[in-house]
Amino acid sequence: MTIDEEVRNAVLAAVPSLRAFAISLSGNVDRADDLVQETLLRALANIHSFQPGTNMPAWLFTILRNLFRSEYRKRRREVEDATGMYAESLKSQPEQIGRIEFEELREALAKLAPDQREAVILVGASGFSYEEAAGICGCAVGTIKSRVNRARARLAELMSIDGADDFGPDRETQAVLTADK
Amino acid sequence: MKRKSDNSEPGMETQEAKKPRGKLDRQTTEKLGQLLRDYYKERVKEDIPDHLVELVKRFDKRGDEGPQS
Repeated sequence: MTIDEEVRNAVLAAVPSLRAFAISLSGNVDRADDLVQETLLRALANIHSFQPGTNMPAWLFTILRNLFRSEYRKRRREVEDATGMYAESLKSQPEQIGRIEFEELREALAKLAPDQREAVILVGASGFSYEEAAGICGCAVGTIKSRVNRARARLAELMSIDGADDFGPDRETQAVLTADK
Repeated sequence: MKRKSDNSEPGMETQEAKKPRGKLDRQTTEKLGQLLRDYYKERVKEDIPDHLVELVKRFDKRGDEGPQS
């Protein structure tokens, strides 16, 4: 079996976004890379089932999401972070965290229910439509909308955000930043 | 990010933690969305491990040689 050059390039082009999705879902770069590798192996082994002209990223995200859910069922307690292991793993990888807000967001994402986490990442971060996200997650569009709304509200709660003014530096920091102007 | 827990009045932190939160207003939703997108872009920009790219390329070369048994 040969892979059409266009299809192969589409797979390669989707890898960075696929890996970002895996990191956002799992919160762990090593696990994310394992997920991406397994996803690519499965995708390539079943490349004949991909319909050229359809949405390659959505197809790959669906495979990765199903792999993650399968792994999640096996490691449920760890993913729910009942013992704090997940949060600890984030602290052990400071090189992955560029900004304090990102660190807070990562920790908040880790505390979301898995179905809410994947919904808000797909729609709110990856740029998939509600319809595409519903296809990836295998549920109704209304369900995705509900999960996204709940995820946003929960993220705001976890990050102590009450309004738009709560983004960016606080007053004290802002005063320091603007002092020399 | 501003910290509501910085409030110095005793008991305020507990009360705020229990405060039910309704739907976010539009501006807050947009800012949260922007933060999510920025976070995701950072992840996308990270270097991809060579073995993942090679995996796709190798499969292609192997595929050119015909079906694998």
